[in-house]
Amino acid sequence: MTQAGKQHIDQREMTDLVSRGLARPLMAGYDPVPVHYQGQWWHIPAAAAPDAPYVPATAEQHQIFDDLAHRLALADAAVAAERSS
Amino acid sequence: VTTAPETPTNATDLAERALIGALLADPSRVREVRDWLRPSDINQPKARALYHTLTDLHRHGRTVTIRELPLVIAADDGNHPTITAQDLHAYVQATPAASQQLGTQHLRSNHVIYARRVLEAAARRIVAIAGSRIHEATEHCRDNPHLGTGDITATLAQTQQRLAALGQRLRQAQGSPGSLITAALGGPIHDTPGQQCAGIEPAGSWPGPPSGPLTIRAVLQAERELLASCLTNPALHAELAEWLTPQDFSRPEHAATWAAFNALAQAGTPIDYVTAAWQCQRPNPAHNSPGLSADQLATMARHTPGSPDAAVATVAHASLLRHTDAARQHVRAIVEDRAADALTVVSTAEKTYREVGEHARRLSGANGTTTSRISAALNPATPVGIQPRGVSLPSTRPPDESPQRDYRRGR
Repeated sequence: MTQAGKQHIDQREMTDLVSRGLARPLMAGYDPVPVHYQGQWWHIPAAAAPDAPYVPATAEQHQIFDDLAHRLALADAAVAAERSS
Repeated sequence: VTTAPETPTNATDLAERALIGALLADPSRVREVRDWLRPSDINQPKARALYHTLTDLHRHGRTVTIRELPLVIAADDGNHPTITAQDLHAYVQATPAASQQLGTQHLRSNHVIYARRVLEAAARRIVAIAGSRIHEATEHCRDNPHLGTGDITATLAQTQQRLAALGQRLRQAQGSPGSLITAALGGPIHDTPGQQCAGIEPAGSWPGPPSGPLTIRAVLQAERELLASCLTNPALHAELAEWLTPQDFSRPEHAATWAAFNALAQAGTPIDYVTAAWQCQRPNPAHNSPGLSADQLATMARHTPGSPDAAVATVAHASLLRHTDAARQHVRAIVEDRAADALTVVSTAEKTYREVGEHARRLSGANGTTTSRISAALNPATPVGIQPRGVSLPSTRPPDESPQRDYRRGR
């Protein structure tokens, strides 16, 4: 388990958290991808090393990922409604 | 032939064009996507300008005819590219129809699905621009592992029976066991009646005989014909999906495209050239190819499909021959391997027999696929897709391949 206040999460640990449903990726089918976990967004900076861990997103990134997550959820709901119609 | 407003280079471009075309055909569709798809999400400038205008008009409750749109866009304050009537026509033509009912003229559109694809592509760009890493995850298997399982038990039992006899022979034989196994694989056997059942004879009804010799050209043409037919008539894919596997296609790009069709169907996503192009774009290490390109799929969808019966038969026939040849070569190789002991040889033969038997039973229609079921999938014969424009199928044959070479020798 990740302890509160932790400043990084290994990629493998994040994958495990996602697979157990404890963390939510921005989009399914992507890895790595920003992940929402314990009330905040985690991501791997683009310039980081290949095996770099996830780190908390900045406030600006938070806003971007929140907006995208909201719109993707609406889109998924629209697709689901379309399929069931 | 209408020129494309912006040359499509990938699946996202196709999705954007298809989305705009669907919205132009029926601007009221904007209400289903405008709450979550923004103009800035669209990459192509002309498509972005059109979407911006359509959402704006809808928001203000205004309706304009498609002929007036270029003027409305030009009059806008924004720095928009010039949109011509030809552009608009090309967008409308670039949208596959999701379903079509003769008589009622009922038309549906997959615009919500296209818009979701466009948003996903935009999200990737936005995340990258925000300085975060994002990659599509690798899918490990999109095949249908359940296919053919109904026959495995029977085939395995027959194989075990046959191999038990082979094992008995091996224990009594002098010299190499290879000739016995090779002969058993390559020619008629004269064992007990129960052992004769272990062969690979077709057990059901074929969709029909191949229409000609199985040259490389004929097989590739049949595969493209089959893929094109499924693109324009998803009912055909639904009928064949439980019967043909990606491994039944001779070329990796065709196999990967069939796997993409299967993945779409399993996810409940309608199959058309836009969704197929998107799916082919996803990583798929199970095949040595990403599948047909977006342009190839778009061109295929313009093809007027004929009856696919002959193509289906050719693909099935060629697949079985390929599998049989590969099995024979595999067993021959292990037999000639001096390091392989008799147990290894027998176990290899058992596995090979089982696999060939499964292919044969599946492809011969033992699971119930018959000509009538395939034909039923083709009726009504009206294809679903964009209007045929007499464009020939794209060639995927590499230049070094002689089309007239016997395909079995060429493999």
